[in-house]
Amino acid sequence: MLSDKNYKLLNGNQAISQAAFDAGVSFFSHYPGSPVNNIEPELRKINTENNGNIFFNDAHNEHIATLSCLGASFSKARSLVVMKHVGMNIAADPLSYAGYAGVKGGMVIIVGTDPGANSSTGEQDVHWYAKSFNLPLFEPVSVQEAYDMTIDAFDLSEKYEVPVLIFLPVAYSYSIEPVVLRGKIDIECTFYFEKDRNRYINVGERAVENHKKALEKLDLIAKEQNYTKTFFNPKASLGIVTRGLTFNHVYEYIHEFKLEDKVQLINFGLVFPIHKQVFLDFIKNKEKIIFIEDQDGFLEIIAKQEFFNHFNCKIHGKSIFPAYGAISKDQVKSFISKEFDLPGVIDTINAPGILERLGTFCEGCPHRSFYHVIFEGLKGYDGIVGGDIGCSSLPPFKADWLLCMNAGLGVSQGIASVNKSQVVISTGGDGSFFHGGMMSLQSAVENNIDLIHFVFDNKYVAMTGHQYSPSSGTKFDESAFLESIGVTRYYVLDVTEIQKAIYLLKHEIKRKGVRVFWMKGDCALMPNPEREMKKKNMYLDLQNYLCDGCSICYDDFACPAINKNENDKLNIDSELCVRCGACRIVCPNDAIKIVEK
Amino acid sequence: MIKNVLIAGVGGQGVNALSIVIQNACLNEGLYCKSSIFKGGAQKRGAIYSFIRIFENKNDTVINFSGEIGGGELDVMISLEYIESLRYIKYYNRNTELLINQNEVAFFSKRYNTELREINPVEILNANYNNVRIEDFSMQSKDFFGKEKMLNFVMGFEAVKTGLLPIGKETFIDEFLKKNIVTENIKIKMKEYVDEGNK
Repeated sequence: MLSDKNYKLLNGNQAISQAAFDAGVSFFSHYPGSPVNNIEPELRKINTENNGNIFFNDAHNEHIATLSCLGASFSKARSLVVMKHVGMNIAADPLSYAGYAGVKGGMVIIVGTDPGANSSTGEQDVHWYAKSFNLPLFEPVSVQEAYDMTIDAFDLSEKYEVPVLIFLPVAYSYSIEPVVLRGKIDIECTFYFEKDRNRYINVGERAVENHKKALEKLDLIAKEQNYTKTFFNPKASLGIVTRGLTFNHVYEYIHEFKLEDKVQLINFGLVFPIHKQVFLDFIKNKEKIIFIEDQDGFLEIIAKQEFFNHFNCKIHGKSIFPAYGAISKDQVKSFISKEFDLPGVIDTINAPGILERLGTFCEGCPHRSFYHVIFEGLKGYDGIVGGDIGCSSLPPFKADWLLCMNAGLGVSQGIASVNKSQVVISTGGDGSFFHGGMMSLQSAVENNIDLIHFVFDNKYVAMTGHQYSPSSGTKFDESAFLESIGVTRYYVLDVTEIQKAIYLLKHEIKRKGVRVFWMKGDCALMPNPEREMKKKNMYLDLQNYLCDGCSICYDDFACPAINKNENDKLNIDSELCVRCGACRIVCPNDAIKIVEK
Repeated sequence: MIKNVLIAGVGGQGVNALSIVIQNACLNEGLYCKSSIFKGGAQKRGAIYSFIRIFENKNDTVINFSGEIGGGELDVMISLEYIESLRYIKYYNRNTELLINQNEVAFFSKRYNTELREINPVEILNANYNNVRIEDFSMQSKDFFGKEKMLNFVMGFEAVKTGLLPIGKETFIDEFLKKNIVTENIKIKMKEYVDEGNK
């Protein structure tokens, strides 16, 4: 029986939100990104339900989010900042000073990591930042630990006056477990910024002095904070070292294969800095040590570096396990079974190759026509199209490159400057435009670069759960903004004005300078009473006798509501169709008819 | 006792909701349970699956176990989509209980569908596994509830009714109603569906 009655069924995102609230966080900032995109809405919900007074700062990017949390924690408030792994690259500048300056109120930095690139365009190993920035790093091995470590991280941050990192991989972000809660801590504090220029102005000698202090803090943490857990036989000659997800795989198979007498397992919850004495005790009688961890082998390399003259045994890690992808349970089982001559992973039949279900726009997304507009406009030209992160990247392999936030507009500037033989068009949503695209655009104007940029404005940072974008509100005026930075050729269009957009694009391709198409259309996943009414009163019928199979609606638009039957005839699923009518606009044969109910 | 369950489908079919309903129902029955949902990068209609690991009780050992299911270690597969049932074959063993919806959700291009038509899940599954049940549960959902959106309830209830999941029918329905907002009409229909299933 589950004996803990004070539990809540939570996923990793929810556990961290609950922990932040329970720990008395006063200031929150973030830039949304999977797999930690649900922390913000969950924390808002908890705050509202409990009449909390957390200040939410929806930052335009991770750099701003980090700086604002530093400010709050300089003023003694507990602050939480959330970003995905690649967001750390954007936040790297402020984070590199965070360890020097330190904080007064606890500051916790949650980073969603993605070994295996499940929900990202890369699987960068960001563990190295912890060492580079001199910041302690926690890595939980369960949702319960994600909750507990978040609360502990605030205490640790305040005790040593240093921001603390917590890495949450995809697997724990979306894992659901019953979590035992500690209850809310009441913190009484007067928020006040105490002047201390030696600490907050890191120039010259002060920077060196503060760097020294940061390293001393880490040494102290390594002595005083023990978040290691050791299991099984301390006298065993084989030692296995884990962090994060691989711990659970290793633990389970040691138990399943009844190898408890033959192995000692150590897991590092505080991954950086390593607790020195515990690790030295662990390696003392070992003949062989295996590091089993995802990605680059951070623990293995750090341990070898710090304890190189203490090892009297064989050490393996990345010589056995790959440095790419997530280490699967099967990889761990194969290793253990080989090591102890046991039966390995059960042989299964050769599965037929099932193709990946690639992305598409949601049914009713008003922006689904945009590649049609661009490709129609480019007909007769040698054109190239830059893609960007977010919903606009969903139709697979339509753009010619897709790297990182703002790469559409950024990369196109270099191409357009040196290459006059091709028409360069860049694309991106409103989220990535405000993240850094607006500065990029201004830079293009100042440098007289010939490019065309499309902003697909759906009013939200939609892909990660409809977080706030400046275009969600009424303060931002795109025309005034574009004019103020010197864009003279721009069009603000409703995204359903497909034919007009094609006509204007053909016209603008012949012009020079920075040209902007600001395409507006609300995200289809947000409530839309007009469409609900349409759904009640009419439906769209695709009349096969008029259809010549041009397939624009099916292949180019890839609308989930349009299906093809066994005889290659198209039909519209009325349950899925939201009556946006985009397919009707582009159908060259007028084969899609409105039928009143 | 450990039971490893995999629920598969495509985005929008209710895989996540069904997974949470089953996990809550298990906890209410006094079992310990871990689940993980894998959504991938596609916003809509992407492959989605969930692991559920059910343990007899919570203790210091099982809380450290992985949330992932190993190759060939699956006990129960509930596939809300036909082709998706083949994506996870590496987890099956000869005695895995397979409950498969025969309805197919189209991929997004002509090319994919052409290639997929050469694959016959019934043939592959029946030839290799002992406990295969393939039916058009989408049609059952449409016929009974008037819409396909109740597919996750229909298949979840079927798994409970036939003993594939160690939870009671009432517990499952209670948890389904807590997780999903349904109309009074659907509630009545659900009761009729359960009554019919009990016959």
